Amino acid sequence: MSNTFKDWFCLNGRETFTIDPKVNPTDARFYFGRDPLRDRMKKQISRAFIDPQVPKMMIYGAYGSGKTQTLHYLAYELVNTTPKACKGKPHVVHLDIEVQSKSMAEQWHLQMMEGLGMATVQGWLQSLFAKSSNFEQDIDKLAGDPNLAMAFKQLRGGGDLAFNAWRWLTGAKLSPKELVEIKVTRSLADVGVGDMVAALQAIGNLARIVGICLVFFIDEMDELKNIKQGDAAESWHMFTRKLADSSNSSVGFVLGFTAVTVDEAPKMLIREDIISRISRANLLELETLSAPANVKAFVEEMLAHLIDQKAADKLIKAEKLPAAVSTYPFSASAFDLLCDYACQDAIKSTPRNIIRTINECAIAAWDGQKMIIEDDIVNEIAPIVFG
Amino acid sequence: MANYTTDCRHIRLVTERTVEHFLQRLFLRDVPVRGLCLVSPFINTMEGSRFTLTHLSEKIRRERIPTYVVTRTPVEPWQEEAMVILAKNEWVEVRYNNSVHAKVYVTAATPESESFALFGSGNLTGRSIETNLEVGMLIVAQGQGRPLVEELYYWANNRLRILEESKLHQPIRAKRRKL
Repeated sequence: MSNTFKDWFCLNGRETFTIDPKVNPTDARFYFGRDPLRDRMKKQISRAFIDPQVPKMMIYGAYGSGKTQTLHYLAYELVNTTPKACKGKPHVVHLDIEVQSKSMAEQWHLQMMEGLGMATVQGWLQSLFAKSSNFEQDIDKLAGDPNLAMAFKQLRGGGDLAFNAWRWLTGAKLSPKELVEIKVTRSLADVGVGDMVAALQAIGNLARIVGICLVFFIDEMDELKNIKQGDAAESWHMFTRKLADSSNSSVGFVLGFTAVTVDEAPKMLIREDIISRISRANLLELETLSAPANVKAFVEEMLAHLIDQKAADKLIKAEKLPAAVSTYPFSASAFDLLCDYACQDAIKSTPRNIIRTINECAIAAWDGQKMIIEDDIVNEIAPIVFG
Repeated sequence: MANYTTDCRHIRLVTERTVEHFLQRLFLRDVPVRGLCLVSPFINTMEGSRFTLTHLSEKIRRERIPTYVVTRTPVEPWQEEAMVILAKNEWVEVRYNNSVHAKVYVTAATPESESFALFGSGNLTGRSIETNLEVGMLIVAQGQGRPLVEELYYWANNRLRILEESKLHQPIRAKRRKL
């Protein structure tokens, strides 16, 4: 018998039962036990590429309901099974937003730009330069503003001027001398958040021309609740509104935030003017699993993907273990017990808690060198998580 | 005074009382903690320090924080004294791994952005806080610090615990309510 946890439980090319796409990017491919929701989200995203041509979506749910996994899964699906209507190769940017009490929308813009990266935009500019017969004219057209166009031209050139042009695009305050050097007349955002969204849209337009579709997946938007000042809140609201507006058809976004009900969402995100722009169908709730059938489906699907079924079947037969392949490494009664615990409290019946319980039960069995997780282990671990 | 780097707000070099910085943040920030990992070859009661092991254990019990400790098998009376304190706490899992040399402390909080970690040279001992010359990196799960804290938590809470050498000494025993 092998002495690693992975082999002990016939894990399928992974170390543990923990699913975390941030630590293990390949985990982004998993989405268990929520077929109707998954299909709905994917359909909404597919439709979005027809009109308004990029996805504009918000996802919310209780803590642990799977927002992060959902964002990573949707991004994974977008890249790997790109909808036909998507005109270009998706370029996804993941971002965990960070918001302080006085943060203005400039901080959001900065984080989006840093998430995107100077080298990426420079690469797109080089691609356009290589294929365009009139680069300057194309840039003028896609930028729609002389300062933005100039910044793009400087950014393609490289060196200090390119770096300062990038800083300007991120919203950094440049000295008068630096502004003169990159040949722009004023700082970005001098006249409001519209400038910053215009810069993002121009980058989205650039991406589109070189065959790329730009979509941001932004998590932890509930951090917006940290904002205590009216001006700051209004700047975030206006930034969101302009991104949500139909005039933006080049920068997609999927926002995730923790909220048990929509009333708990950051107010600036769910004002009517924004919801009407993205459409209510794109405001999606991730419900807890709670119903026994949902929990069972979730756990069964999860085990089916994480366990090497052939190896498990071989092990069960060889060792005459009291388990079925579908519930391995749990015995049938331990599996039912786990599902019962997970259904006790709807609020705690979250994917995070279920995954954590499965992993901890497996570690407990591993500690006792038990090949199967029986009722006693579930009774020991599950109350800690769900109790 | 701790000496901090200035180019990154979320990753700080701490050169004095390193472990105390971690404990201070744990005790002073009023955020729900969903998990605590303490990896230290040597642990003592930290009597005489600002935050003792008893204080820590009380906080863990009061706030019902699942806590995972990986340390070396105690051989000295002062190590055993510390283990006695932890043994009384039903929310603490203890594993002995005599290969452990790393000193890693991770607080997983809700929201995620409140999570933080310290890794460096300091053991969870009064001596490391009061007299030894230690260094450590204190990382907050924001900005560039976020993926580092997540990976440290995954390492301490998953990889390290399932090593064959990490022998379970004491499981979490809290809340044995059965269906």
